Amino acid sequence: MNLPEQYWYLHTARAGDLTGRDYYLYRFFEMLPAILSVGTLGLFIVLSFYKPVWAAYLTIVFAAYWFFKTAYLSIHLRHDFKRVRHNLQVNWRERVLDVPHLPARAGSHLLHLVLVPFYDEQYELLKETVDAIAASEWDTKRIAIVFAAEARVPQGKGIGERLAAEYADRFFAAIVTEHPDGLEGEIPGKGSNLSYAAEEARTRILDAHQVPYEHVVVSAFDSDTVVYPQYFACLTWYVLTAERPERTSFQPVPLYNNNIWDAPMLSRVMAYSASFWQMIQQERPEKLATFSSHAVLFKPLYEAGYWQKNMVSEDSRIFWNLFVYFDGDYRVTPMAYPVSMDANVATTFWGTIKNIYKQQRRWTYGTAENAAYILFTFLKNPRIPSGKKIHAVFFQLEGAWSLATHPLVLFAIGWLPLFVGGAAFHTTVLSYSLPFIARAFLTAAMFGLIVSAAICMYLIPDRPAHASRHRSIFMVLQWILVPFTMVVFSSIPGLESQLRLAVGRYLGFWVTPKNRTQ
Amino acid sequence: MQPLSPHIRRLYLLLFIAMFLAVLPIIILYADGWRYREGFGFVRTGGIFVSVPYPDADVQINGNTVGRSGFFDRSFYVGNLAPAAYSINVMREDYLPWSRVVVVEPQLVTDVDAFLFPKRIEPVRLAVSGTATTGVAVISRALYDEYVAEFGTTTASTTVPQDESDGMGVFVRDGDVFVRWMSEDAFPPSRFCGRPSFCVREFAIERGSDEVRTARFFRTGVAYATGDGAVYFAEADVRPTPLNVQLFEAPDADIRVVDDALIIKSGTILYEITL
Repeated sequence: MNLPEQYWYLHTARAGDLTGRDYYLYRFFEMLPAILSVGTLGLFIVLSFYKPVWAAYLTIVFAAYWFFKTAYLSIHLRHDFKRVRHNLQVNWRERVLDVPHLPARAGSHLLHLVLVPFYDEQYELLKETVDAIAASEWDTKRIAIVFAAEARVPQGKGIGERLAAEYADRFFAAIVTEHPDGLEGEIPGKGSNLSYAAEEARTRILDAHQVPYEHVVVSAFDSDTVVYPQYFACLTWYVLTAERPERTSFQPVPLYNNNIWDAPMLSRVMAYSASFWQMIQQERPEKLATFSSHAVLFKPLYEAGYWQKNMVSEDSRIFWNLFVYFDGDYRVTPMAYPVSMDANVATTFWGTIKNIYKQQRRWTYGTAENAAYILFTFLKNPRIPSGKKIHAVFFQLEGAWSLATHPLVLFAIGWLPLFVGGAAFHTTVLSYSLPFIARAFLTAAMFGLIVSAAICMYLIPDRPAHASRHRSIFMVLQWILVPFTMVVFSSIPGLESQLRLAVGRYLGFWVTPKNRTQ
Repeated sequence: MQPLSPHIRRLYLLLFIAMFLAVLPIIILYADGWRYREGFGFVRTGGIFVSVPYPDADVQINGNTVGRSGFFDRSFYVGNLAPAAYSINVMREDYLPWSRVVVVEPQLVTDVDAFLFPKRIEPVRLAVSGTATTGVAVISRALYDEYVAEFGTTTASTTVPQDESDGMGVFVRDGDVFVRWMSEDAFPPSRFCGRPSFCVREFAIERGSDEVRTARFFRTGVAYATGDGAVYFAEADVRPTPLNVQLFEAPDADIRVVDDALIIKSGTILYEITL
C-alpha cells in the first residue's frame, strides 16, 4: 500500500534517505544521543581533572538519583510481577466469553495471524514454536500462521513447507513466504521479512478468505517465541476490551525461559534484566513501545505500510511509525502476560559473551535510532499534540543518555576525582566522603536485586533433570554480576551504538544465533 | 488486575522526587564535612587519615583508641572532628612508640604516615669471603664493589640536592639538612604542611651543632652522617614531633642508600642497616 503523501517521511531510516535541509537536520538528530552521552562523560573527565570538587558533587547527585530511580522503578516491577502472576492464573478463555458488551466484536470473529520470521534456524526450534501455538487453549482454527523464510538461506523455504504441511489441518491456514534477497530500499533483516510476509498473508489468506482487516490480530513473533497456553485468549480479551483496538499495539512480557537452565550466568542476568525492564515499562504504558514479540490489528498495520524494511529495530520502530501515522493517537496496551524466548547461548562461553554484546548493541542502537526518527518526524507532523511530542522526545533521549552514561559514571568515571583530582582535592573531607557516600547509595540500590532474584526464581521454569541442583543457587547469586553487566553490556554497547550512528557507520541487522542444548 | 493507576504513579513519582530533593542537599553538606552539634548548630568538621606500615599496631587519637591495624586494613579515617590540634599515637610491640601532633581544619583532612622504628637496630658488617655469622653478612664481590663505588660519587651543592625522592630533594647547607618540595606547580604532601591549609616548601631536618656531610632519603625519612662519624635517621615531617634517632657511630662514617638498604662506610669497612 502506498502511504499518503503527507506522511512521505514515515519510513525514513537514516539521513541518507533525505536531501537538502532535511538531510542535515536528520544527521544532527542522529548525532544528538552521542553528543549528550559523550558530552556528559567528557564533562565528568574534564571536571575530575580541573574541578574535582564539582565532579565529586555530580557523582553524589548521580548516585542518589540512581538510588531513588531504582527504588521508584522497583515498585513498578513488583506490581507488574503481581499482575503477571495473577494473569497466569486467570482463565482467559472464560473471560473472553464473559465480555458482555460489543457483540459485534465477539472473539470468534477475530482471526489471529501469526508471523514467524526465521533465518537459518533449525526445524526443531521452529517446531517448538509452532507446537506451542497449536497447543494453545484457543480455537486454533481461528489462527493462521505464516512461516516467513529468507531466500538468502536455501534450506529455509523447505523447512517452512515441511512445517506448513505438518500443521496445515490444525490452523485456519499455514503458508510459507520466501522474502527475496536484495529488494530495492531494503536492508536484510527481520523488518523486511515481516513486511513481505504480512503483504503475502494479506493477499493469500485474508483476501482469499475475505477476512476483514479489522478482524485480524497480527502477532509478530521471533522464530523462538513460545507462547504460554492462554496467550491468544488473553490477547483476544485485550483486543475485545480495548477502547479503540485499532489505535493500540499489544505487548506481552518477553521472558527468555526456553533455554534459561542451559544459559551461562551472564546470559541469564542479561535476559532477565531485559525482561524486568519490559515489566517496569508495562506499568508505565505511556512510555511503553513495542519490543520483540508484539501484536497489532492488521488494519492499522496495513495502513501504515507494515514494518520498516530499511532499518534495524523494526520491533520498536513499528510503534513510532503508527504513533506518527495516527498523529499521536496511538498507544501500547501492556498485557502483563508472558511469552517465552531463548536466552543468548552460543556453543562457547566467549561466543555467548560476543553474542550478548552484539544483541545489546542492536537493542541500544534501536534506542538511539528511534530518537533521531522521533525528533525528525515530530517536526514534520504538526498534528501530534505538543505535550505528547515533548514527553516522547524527553523519554527517548533520556533513555539513550542514561543507558550509555549512568553505569559508567557510577562504577567508573565518577570515581575519577579520587585518582586525578590532585593533592589539594585529596586533602578535602569531600574526597574521603565520596567513596563512602557513593558506595552507600549503590549498595542500597543493590538491595533491589534481592527483589529481582525473588521474581526471577518465580518466573523461571522448573529445573530440568539435566541441570544440577547447584544451578538453582547460582540463579540467585548471579545478580551480583549486575554492576559488571551494566557497564560491559549496557553502557559500552550503548556508547558504541550512539557513536556509530553519530559518525554514520550504521549497523546492519544481526540475527541472534539460536542454540539449545539437546 | 489493573496496572498501577496514573494517580498512584504520580504520587509515587512526586514522593520520590521530594525525597531526592530533600536528601540531596543534606548528603552534599554531609559529604563536605558539615555536622550538627548540640549548642553550636551546624559546624564544619575535618578529619584525620592515619596510615600504619605494619599489622597489629594500635592507633590512638587524643588517647582514644581508633583501632588496630590488620593484615590488609592498615589505614584509619576518623571524620567528624572539630577543628583543633590532635595528638596521634601508634604503638606496636618491639617498636618505638610513634606520635605526631596534627592540626585539623574545617572541611580538610590531615593525613599522616606513621613510621614505626624498631627498638633494636643491628648494623651488619658486609664481607666478600668467610662465613656469615651474627653481625656479618657475606655478599658477592660485584655487589660489594658496587657499594664501594657509590661512595666515590658526590654531585651535590647547595642548589643540587644530595638525593631526590617522590618530588622531594634533600640538601645539606652549612652543615644542616633540609628537605625541599621540588615541584613549582604541584601541591606538596602533608608532611610539608603544619596544618592542611598552610604548607612550606622547605623545612629543616637537622639544624644543630653537628656538621652534616651526607644526607640521603631512606624509607619515609632521611638518613644523614655527621662529620664526627655519627649516623642518624630522621623523619621528614614538618609537624611535631618527628622521630630522630642515632643509628650508628664509627670514625669517619659515611652513608649511601642502595636499593632501599642503608650502606655505611667506615674506613674500608662496609655495614648495612635495614629497617
